[in-house]
Amino acid sequence: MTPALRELSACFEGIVPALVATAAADGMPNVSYLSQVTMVDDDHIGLTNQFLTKTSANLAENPQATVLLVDGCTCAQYLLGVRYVRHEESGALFGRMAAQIEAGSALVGMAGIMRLRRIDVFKVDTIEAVPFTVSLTDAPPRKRASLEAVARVVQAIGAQADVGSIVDATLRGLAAELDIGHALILQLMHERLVTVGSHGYPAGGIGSEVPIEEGLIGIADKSAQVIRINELSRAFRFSQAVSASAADENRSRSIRLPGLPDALSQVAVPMLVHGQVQGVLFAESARRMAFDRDDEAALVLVAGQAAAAIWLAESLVSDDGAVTPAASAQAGGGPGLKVQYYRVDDSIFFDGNYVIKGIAGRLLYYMLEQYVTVGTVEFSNRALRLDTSLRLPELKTNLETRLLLLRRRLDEKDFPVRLIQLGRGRLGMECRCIPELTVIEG
Amino acid sequence: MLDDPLRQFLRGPVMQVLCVAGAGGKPYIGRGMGMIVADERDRIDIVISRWQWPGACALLANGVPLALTVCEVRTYEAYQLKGCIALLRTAGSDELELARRYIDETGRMLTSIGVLPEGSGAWTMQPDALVVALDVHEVFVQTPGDLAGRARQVQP
Repeated sequence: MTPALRELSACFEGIVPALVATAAADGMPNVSYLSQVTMVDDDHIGLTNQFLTKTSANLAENPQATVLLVDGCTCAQYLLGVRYVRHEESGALFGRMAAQIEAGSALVGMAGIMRLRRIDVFKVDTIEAVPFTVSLTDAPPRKRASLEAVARVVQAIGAQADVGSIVDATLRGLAAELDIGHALILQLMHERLVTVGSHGYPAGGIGSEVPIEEGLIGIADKSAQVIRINELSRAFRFSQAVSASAADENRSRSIRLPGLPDALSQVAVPMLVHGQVQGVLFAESARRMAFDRDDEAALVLVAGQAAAAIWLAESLVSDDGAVTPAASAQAGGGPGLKVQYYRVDDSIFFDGNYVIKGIAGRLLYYMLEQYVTVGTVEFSNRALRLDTSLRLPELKTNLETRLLLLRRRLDEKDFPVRLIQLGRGRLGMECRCIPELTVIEG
Repeated sequence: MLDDPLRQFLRGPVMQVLCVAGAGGKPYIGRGMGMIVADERDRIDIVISRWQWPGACALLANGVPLALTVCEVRTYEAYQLKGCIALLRTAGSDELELARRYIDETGRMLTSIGVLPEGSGAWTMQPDALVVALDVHEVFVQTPGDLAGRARQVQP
């Protein structure tokens, strides 16, 4: 029985490269590997055209082509008799495939080399299964994301009012409802994506950063496209497996991004609000082909809901209530804690251990200074936002998200200084020590 | 056309894909399952299964133009060899054994780098294979990069 194009979804994951064959008018054939084939609709496929000069020349003379696809799960092969229809050099399909190729080539150390020039769109006339003797006896069952499960996650996110609860509901929902056990939420802060929530990793990695345009996550952010890779090269996995020690963290003043050393599948979904990327929802799995098109669609819905909810929480906090006077108390006792604050990058160290840098570091130092000098133990987001000495870059500056990141970083490292959520827009500081502040200029 | 580095490359665990065109210009694809690369001539014998690739095999005949793309999947190094079929014959026991070894070695390599899933088992060889002798007239680079699509320079 001839399979339908839609049944060949596992062939479009790019695990085993596809091939396209064409023939010139004089009968000389040409066959080339393809980096990406995608299903455009039930009757059309799109082929990425990067180095296919001869293929393009042949198609101008003879629109017939044959495409060989391989199912990444079962190794089954299919011969598609196709006919060239048109090419696209821009638009939604082009953007999606260009981002996918950029991410895929970056993962195998060929960033910038495999740049998409155009997509050739073909009408599929015939599909023929190639007789094949490989049998995959232990093929893992394909998980399907149900619409009901997605609805439960979206509903749970919508019920939350503060950024921390939204992040938690999102990650919890992915694990419980969609069987996605390893995920990160990163938010855009000052030209970098910063991890504000994680699930399924031994080290939470709160505060870890991804530079813009770097790796799967950075490309998802830059392109505002979903990037899905279902077979990671060994080289990439090995590079990811190199772990940074605590000593490295102190030296580099950067926190290691959590990651599965044996990840085979990854997906990065931009979190969009009003068409602008606010962050990235990232998930990965040690299973091959863990994320299919349905999973991608589910993650897009969840990421959109989480992005809107975080944006709303930030916006509402900035508008609520009047400035509340900070509560004060006598500073607590305990052993001394040497706090070093470097003005050059706003980084903070507790007894020589790196805590955080950037605006979150500036906020932490400000609160510690208030705690030490006037005994302030309670802070309102609104007061922090309005304090010009903090030099916050703009009024709506993801303050609640930055405070969440700071609070969780302190918790994760079990530092003797903690920030406690006292209510919406209010934080309390707890110190099991006596902070001794030192400012290092330059 | 074939120099020593290319011969060495072709004798490694490379993927082999053949293509011929039918009378109406429709191209047909088949996968090779082992090659014998001549030492002194620009000739390659390729083993192909008639059972698996009946469309392509039906068009194989002396003098027919044929393209062969070879790729080392671990490095992405790839070339396309073009020429004409010089000879076509049924595979003998030595060539079937060559194909079995090729399938075994290539299957292991593809599994080790994650292209084939673990547990995919061994490919089995059908005893209906043909041997296509290709006289190579042109070699093109297909490795992704600036040289892709250009004629390969023969090394002295």
